[in-house]
Amino acid sequence: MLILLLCPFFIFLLSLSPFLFARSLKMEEEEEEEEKEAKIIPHKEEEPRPSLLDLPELTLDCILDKLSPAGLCSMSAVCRPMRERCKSDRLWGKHMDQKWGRVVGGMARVEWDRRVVEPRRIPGCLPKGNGTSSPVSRFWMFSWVRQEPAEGTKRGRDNSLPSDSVMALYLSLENGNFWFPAQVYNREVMIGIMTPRQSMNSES
Amino acid sequence: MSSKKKVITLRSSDGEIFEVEEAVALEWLTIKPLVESGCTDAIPLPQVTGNILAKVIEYCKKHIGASESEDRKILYELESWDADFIKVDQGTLFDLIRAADYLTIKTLFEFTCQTVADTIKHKTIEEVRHIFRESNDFTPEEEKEIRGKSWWLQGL
Repeated sequence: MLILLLCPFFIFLLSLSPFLFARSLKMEEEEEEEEKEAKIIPHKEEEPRPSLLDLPELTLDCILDKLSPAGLCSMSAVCRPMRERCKSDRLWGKHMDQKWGRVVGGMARVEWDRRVVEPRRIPGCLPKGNGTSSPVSRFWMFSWVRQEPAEGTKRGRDNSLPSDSVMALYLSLENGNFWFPAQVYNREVMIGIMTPRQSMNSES
Repeated sequence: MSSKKKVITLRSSDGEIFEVEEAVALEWLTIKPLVESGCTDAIPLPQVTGNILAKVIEYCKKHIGASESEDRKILYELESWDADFIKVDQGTLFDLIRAADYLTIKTLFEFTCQTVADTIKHKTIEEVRHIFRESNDFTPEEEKEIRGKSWWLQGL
């Protein structure tokens, strides 16, 4: 009686067995493939390639000096020791002068320092006494300066990039976090405007 | 009377002996005083191996006089020669940089450093890590923060 009852159960198990067997085989194959991949990758990685950090400091500085701001920025995201090298004020000072040197004058730097020192201060007009009409660089005058809080000051803690570094200022300018409207005093433009008036006056 | 050019003998770190013209050796600021003092013995170069010294001599021989040339054809040829010369593995390139630095050969030093800088250009962060075997020691949070700082890094 018991045998008769168990028979359908055995038949059911037998009908399922090919599926179960096939599944276990497939799993074994997958495992084998994974093992193969794991074996191949370390073999590829074994090529003896030297690290940039093996080079003498001055040599590495010379290489970094030849990079564009974008290149320098991506190098700074490679690893910690590289980031330390890449955020040097000397490297960024050159790019700062090349791109922003004629625009960012002393007053903009003072304002940047003020923002960094007093991060909670509401951005707005320059303090009275600084003289909105005083020239801040050779070609530019600031009427007012505004800035979104810098990345570093916003967070309050940023050990990886000090907010008073030239790199922080450069990136804030590029990202639009630090900005200022300014009026250009271009001698050639002024001459262009003045000449017709002068000629009209002289005619009258 | 003596039209024969003066030859300077150099000895690499692995004991190999090389002979170069005085004009070539005078371009190497580290040994320039020795050459000028009329040293006749083999000058030891303990930081440069024979195969690297051979490459350095090959470069300097090719460049001596040619770099100052104003002939466009010569300069173009020199440029393509340089491109072939620098097709070396990374280890050799780094050894050439070290040798140029040690011997104070400005042209070779600038050229090799520029080659490394060109290799870095337009590479993603991961590619740079792979090429120079730099390991990523940032935490995922730090990396996210760094990448968020600049739009240059957004797509890299």
